[in-house]
Amino acid sequence: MSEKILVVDDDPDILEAITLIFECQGYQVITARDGIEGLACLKAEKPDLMILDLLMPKIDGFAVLKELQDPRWSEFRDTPILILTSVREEASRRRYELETGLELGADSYVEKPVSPAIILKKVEKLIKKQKV
Amino acid sequence: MRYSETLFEVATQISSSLSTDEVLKAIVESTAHAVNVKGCSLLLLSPDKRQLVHSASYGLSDWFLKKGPISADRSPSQTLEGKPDQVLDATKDKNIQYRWHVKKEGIASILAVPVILDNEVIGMMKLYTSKPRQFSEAEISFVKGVTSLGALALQKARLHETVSQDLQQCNIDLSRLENERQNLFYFLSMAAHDLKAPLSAVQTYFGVLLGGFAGEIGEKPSNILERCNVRIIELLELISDLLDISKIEAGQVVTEMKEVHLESVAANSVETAWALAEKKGIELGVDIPKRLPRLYCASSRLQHVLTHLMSNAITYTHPGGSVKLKIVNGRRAIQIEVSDTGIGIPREELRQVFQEFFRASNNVEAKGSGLGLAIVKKVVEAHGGRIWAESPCLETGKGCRFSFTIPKKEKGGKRTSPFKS
Repeated sequence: MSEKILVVDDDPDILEAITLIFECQGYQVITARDGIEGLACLKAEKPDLMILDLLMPKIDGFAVLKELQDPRWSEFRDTPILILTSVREEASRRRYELETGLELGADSYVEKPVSPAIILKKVEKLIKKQKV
Repeated sequence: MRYSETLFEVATQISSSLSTDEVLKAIVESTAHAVNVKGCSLLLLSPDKRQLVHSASYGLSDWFLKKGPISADRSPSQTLEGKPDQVLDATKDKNIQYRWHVKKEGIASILAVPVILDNEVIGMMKLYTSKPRQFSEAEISFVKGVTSLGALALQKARLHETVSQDLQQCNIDLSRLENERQNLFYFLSMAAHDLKAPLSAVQTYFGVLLGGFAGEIGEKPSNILERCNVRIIELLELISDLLDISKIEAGQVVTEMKEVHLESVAANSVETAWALAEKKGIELGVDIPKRLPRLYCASSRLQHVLTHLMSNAITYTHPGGSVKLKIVNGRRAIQIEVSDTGIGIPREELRQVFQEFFRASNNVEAKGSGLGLAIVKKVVEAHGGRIWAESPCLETGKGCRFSFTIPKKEKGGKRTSPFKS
């Protein structure tokens, strides 16, 4: 069975590019354009991993992460999340650490522009870790 | 004897931290005692120079002081021309404006000495006696002396006022500038972010196409795409660099600082450099001591510095050459060195390498924004460190070596000052 990946980003071109990368490698890809849609997809599709952009209209990535900390979402507590960000946008990074209380480790984020080789490697790693 | 003591006392008061009013009050009181007169008053000319106003007085009643405006032209005329003048019977002299008040106050004679500041009469010191008397030369000289000191006190006050006004203006200008700078910084970061988003999407697509994720493409289109990709990367880097410069200039590095492990920072940079070195056929040497102390720094900035120095070294080294990262745990600071066996930098240009948009003359195929090393230097200096370049590297005699220091955190939370020897 192929792994299912949910990609949440407001940029349709980023969604399309990431979809192409993962579909090519045999993954099943679902996309969402904002946080609300993303949370709905997460509930309905139960993906193996979520790729989440931080800066989005409506409910942004930070709000999604906060929402997932609520016990109602405990079912998805172990679903790995790969953050889409720019490491040089230090403000986003600090806000992430401030709001989630987690350190944004090198394995848990991917910089934009997205390099196919890097995002594939990080997703593989996260899914493998989750299965162990 | 009494005069010199008084002059000394007044001079001491002027140089003290007393307010001008207190100093002037002490001057009139000391003068009255020293010359043994009923009262003494310091009168200053109004800005239009038509009236005299009591600034400080001793031995005179409130009623007398508030008798009304004193016309400048009804005062002893010589005094306003800069010479001392005395009136033996002030109750009868026509030059005295308030003769009836003078009589009621019990004043007989008056001595008036001009207060001169910057060659200009700004007022007068008046001495009032209760019995008619002629002032001696010695007394007049003394009063002239003490009046000069009074003028000095007034000058000090005026300077102080000018300085504090200038200072206030400077503070207003400064906060306005700071405001404008913040606005500019905000505008720049918004503009940079909005410019980066579409470019990021385009560059991501290039990666997809070139990686064959959207199907096979021929060699020629692939080459063209590769070149487009390179140009987009350049543009993205330029925008990021401009954004970085504005953020660093706004002092953001300091706000990002926290305690971090240098090993993890270095490991991330080394990982990036490994990939680049391997691709180009360059040997990458890493010499990092086992136990490094935790550093107080902005980790992502520091990582950027390290990555930039190493990728620069790889860029300017021919295949088959080598690049080395070495970290030395010094007593006061950590020293980080990146050396290569590359093309080096002409000796006379070494000092300029950290300047914005500088390109070494032997750097024929210049890449990047030209801001990289300027940013690196700003980041190192924001950490209280120092950065320098040498070419050829003193150790190998080849290529060049970039070294920088990051001061260690002292016990008790203070950081070692980079200015200490």
